[in-house]
Amino acid sequence: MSEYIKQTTSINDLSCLLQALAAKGYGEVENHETAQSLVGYHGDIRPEKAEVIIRRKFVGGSSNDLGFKKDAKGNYEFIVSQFDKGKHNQKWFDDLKTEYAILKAKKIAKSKGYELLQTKQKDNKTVLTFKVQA
Amino acid sequence: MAQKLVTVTIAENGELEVETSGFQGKGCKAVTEAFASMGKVKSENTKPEFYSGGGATGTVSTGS
Repeated sequence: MSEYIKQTTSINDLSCLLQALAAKGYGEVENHETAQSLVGYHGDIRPEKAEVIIRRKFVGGSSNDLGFKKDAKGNYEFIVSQFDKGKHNQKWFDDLKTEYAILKAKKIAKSKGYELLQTKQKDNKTVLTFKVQA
Repeated sequence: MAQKLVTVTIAENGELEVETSGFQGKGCKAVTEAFASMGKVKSENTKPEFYSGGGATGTVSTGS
């Protein structure tokens, strides 16, 4: 049985998380009010629970469910099995966080009425420039 | 009057840095604080112009 690992994040916006996961190819994601159990490769119910779950059939052959569990601060903790860390490694996790950050920054800017002037890549970084109304 | 701009730079690991330009007084602080809600604030720098009420440029970096 592949043990689960938990990774803390500053991700706290559900809609942006779901959009970021969709951008990473996970459009079929469960979103629960109350955390539900994750299921392992053998169909075994695992003690780990999460509100946002990607079921193993969408993750890959021999995979376990992936989960995002809200912590006491309202941030989502990424729960991934040792086995699935091969595909969902630090690079994958960083890409997800980057996608989330872009979506969240645009959302905040829009809520403040800022106008997006430019999006560009510089030194492997994404640079968003907004105009703030006087 | 200078155009007020906010530049959000997102690194490969999702960390971001917010830079403002063209603001006067406390305006830039309010803008950076809005984005600081995205994560833990590592550092914040407000240039001396902030305190004199002149034009200011500020940056704030957040962890992911």
